[in-house]
Amino acid sequence: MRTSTHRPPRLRPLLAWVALGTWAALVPHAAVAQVPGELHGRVTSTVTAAPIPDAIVETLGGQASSRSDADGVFVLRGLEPRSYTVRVRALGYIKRDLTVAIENGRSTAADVSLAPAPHRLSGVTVKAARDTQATSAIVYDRDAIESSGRRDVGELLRTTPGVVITQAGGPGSETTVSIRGSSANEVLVLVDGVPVNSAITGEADLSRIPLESVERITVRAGSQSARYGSRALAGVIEIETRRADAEQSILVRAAALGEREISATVGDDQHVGTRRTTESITADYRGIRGDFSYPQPAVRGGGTAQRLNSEVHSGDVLGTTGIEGDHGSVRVRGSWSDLSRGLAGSIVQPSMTGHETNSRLSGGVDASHQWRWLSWTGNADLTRERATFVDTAPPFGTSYDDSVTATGLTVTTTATATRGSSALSLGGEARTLNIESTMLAPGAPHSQRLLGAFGSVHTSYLALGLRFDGDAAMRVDGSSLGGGAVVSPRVAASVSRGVVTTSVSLGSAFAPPTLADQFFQEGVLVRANPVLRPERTKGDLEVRVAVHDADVGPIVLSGAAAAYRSNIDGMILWFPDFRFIWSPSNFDVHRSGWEVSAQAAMPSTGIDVQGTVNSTAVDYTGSVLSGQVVYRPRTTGSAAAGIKTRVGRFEISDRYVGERRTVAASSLNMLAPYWLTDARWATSLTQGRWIFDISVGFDNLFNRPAAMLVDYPFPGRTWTVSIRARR
Amino acid sequence: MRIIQSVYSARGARPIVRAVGVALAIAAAGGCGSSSTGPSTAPGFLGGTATNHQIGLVVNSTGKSVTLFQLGSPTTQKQIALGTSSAVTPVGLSIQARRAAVPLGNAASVALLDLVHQSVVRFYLFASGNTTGSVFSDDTTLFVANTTTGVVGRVTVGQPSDSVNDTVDVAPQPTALSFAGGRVLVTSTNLDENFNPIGNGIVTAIDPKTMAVLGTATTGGTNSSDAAIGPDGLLYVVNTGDFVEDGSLTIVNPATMQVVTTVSGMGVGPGAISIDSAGLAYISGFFSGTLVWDTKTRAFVRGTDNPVCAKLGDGSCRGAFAATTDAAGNLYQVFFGSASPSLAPYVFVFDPTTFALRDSVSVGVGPSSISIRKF
Repeated sequence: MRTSTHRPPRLRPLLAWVALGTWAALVPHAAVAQVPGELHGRVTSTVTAAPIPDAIVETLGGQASSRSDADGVFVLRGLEPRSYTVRVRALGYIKRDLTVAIENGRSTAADVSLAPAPHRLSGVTVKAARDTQATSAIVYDRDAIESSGRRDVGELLRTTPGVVITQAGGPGSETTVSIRGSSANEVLVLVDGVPVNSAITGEADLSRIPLESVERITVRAGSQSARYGSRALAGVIEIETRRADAEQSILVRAAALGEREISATVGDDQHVGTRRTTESITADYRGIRGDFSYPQPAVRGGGTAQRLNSEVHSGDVLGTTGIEGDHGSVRVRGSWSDLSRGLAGSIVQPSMTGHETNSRLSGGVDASHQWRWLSWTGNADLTRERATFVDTAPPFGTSYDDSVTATGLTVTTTATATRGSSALSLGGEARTLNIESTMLAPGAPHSQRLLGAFGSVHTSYLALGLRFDGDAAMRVDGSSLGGGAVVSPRVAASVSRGVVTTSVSLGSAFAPPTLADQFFQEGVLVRANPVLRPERTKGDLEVRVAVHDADVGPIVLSGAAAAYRSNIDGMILWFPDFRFIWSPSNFDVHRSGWEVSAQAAMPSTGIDVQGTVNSTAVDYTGSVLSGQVVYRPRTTGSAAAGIKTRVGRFEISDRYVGERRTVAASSLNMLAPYWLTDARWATSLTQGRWIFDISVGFDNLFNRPAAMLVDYPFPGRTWTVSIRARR
Repeated sequence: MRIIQSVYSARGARPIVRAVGVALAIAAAGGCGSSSTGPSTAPGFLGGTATNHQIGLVVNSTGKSVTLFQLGSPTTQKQIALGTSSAVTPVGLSIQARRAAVPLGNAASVALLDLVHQSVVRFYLFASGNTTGSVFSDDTTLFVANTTTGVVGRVTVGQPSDSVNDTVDVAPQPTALSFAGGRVLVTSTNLDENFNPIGNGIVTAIDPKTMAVLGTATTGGTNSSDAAIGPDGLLYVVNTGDFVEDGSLTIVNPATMQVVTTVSGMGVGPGAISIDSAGLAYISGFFSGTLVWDTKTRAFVRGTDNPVCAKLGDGSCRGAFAATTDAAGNLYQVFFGSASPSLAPYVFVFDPTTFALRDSVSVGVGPSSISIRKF
């Protein structure tokens, strides 16, 4: 991007100066008063240098917005003289933010080039911050989140390569994540650096995280314990909540199954010298009636029946305030969320009285500072969560009234020293967790303290026309629940030339047994297993080749192919023994697979396509159990195509989940594979200072019966209409 | 029999096992059905081998299937999938002619199988509940026990409706059905909803035509979970007990519904019984193995100190879910298997006289009951 400040041509500035002089003379005290300036420029493609029409150019905070014309030219007028963050975005391109200073009564030029990209996966290969030890990641930024039309994190990640989302029913129902065939408790989910995996089951419910509160999501597949510690065995999902910004927006959504959502964000910022202070608050409410009809299994006579007790109500509030300066920033955040939903049970044993509530209150401080070559970040978070599970008349057995209350304090700090193209990071994490639960045996621990220390080095250099990057990291974790110190190393290296990057990584990771596995309330022929050992992967090897923004005639191509081998020692699974006592035990599994993803965009036509294919083999080892672990599809994939026209963007996408075993070591009674087709239309309108984003979507367009889990069917075709107004 | 449920809990993606609920009753209802053969040897697979026409039928409980194998060539097998639903928790079957009925546990239905084509013909459904035992009273009339609702239902093979409409209330938690002397004999555990004994087990006699209760008998032990008719026409009822103390065996005269006697010392948790034509009763428990008790002498042939079982490395016994004999007297014993410790499921074959282990047959995942027939 180029920016320059110059005097506007022709007569208008002269008149302006005359007017200014006259006014200043009349009002002496206002001699330094402000005269609006303007910003003008041209939006072009980084690939073709062709103008991009209809790009939205707006100041964050909503003072002004405009659209580029057929030549890509735009003008923002009426800008008070000061520094602005200007966002330029166009469908089919990666947005850009730039900082420009508008001077008193002057016109400032700013030409902007946008890189084409499929809107959903904004960058298949992303170089992460130097202390994160990730050679690749998939990132969903705020624009990708908003343009997806999805409602919660689980829905958004459904087509992410290597990721399988398991939802126990319709929208708002419990949603867990598997990466590369893992169990859900082997994926660490962080919100602002704090784990949200259940203190009892180790699993994170992604339906609990509304996208309206999310600024950015980063998915890192593969062993990540070297940086993130326990439970990052198969991958990490980092969720950053909304940053305070000067913006106002309101979202209204209506959807099938009686779904209604309203969300609002109000934010402001002030500039004092080089400092910028921000405040914002986001509130979201979502209600879903949830009932739908489904095909009954043959063992229950076939036909259709009605899924009941699926009502969901959730409310979320997130408030943040922060100060940003030249050398550091401080951000204070607080959030509250509340959930109430029915526990419908399976369709063969439905419950009309099962109910779950969950309330979460969280507050934290994030700070960073930079001293020349040394930077520091620190985070502290205090979270209290209470969940209840009640069923006064369950379909079988006796009534239950269980609760879990967990209070956690997490403190993390990292220092990074940078010299030239090398960096050294050292950090530590301390976490204390207090747990009270009626679901655990009386002898279960009520508190847990975890300590982790980590370090990493990164270096890169250019030689022979190639760029070489190398990373090495190691983390040591300890827990008050025992198990000794766990060491998790990881090394990674990559070579880049032009648009091609080849990388290889080798790492180790672990996931400790959950409290549910070790201390669950025992019952008739049900035994917890307190001597479980942690699940471990000791040699997670990944080889990846990625191509980023390669020009092939008028087409811009990006893609990646990765292959991995990541056996898990001691995956924890429940089985009955020969006395029919059910208990969790450690089982070794072989895990390997490959993922291919590709995107192609033709900016001149507004057409883009993308697709992923994933193959995941997760096989039991040993003489008794064999074959794919249950509920792990060996094959998954997705395909999408979009076109941008004058009336908006149309997109149609397919997601495929292959057949899944329902019985260990048996290929009988497999769950059928399914293809689901989604379609969506989105457009933006500008009315004065307001921009209206309108979206209409259909999920499961062809109304195909499907279920990820046996006896937990998805609804058929559903629709969604949303309008977001912002400025 | 003890009840357990593996639930895909709404609280987590991993199966969490709750110790509550009606689900998989491990009542070995298999072998309860009356035996009948067709006019000639069945064609194809069901006819067995040239030298041995017998077919073994194994219910794979956690495998949600039925495995058929030829006794003359045990690795020649067919499998019938019963359905993916988690509610499909079969534990036994009954056989009549070339059909079999498999109660599907939590699915509250019973599958009718065509054994010639190895397929599911249709399902008969209760409105709700948990189906365990079943028995044919003739070629077309089937009785099914619904443990949860405490009823026994009657269906006719060709009836237009899929619903089980003709029902009769019996003692709480019926799990096993037998047919003798023109009566359907229903064995109830007599447990409450929390699976605590209300009292000793109860046998209820039903008129198969009128569905009237003809009489009841209270057994000499709790948690009566399985029963079989001996060649003497008496009903031998296994009282499983509490899985801590030894169970017992109660002998009931089905004609008079009087208890003849109760024999103790049947080991911990006996859960299944079959009786051969010579009057030897095979009482299996998954803690110990199979006891052999002579109904004629009323004495143990192999007692708790020396049960028939496949030994583990440390000399202890694998448990047994069920056992039955073939025409030659070989004992076929079902071992459920175990993922941890790693023990593969098998049907073990024992010598008819010495009970020495002679063979093992892999029969799929989670076998829980067995019948042997010639078709």
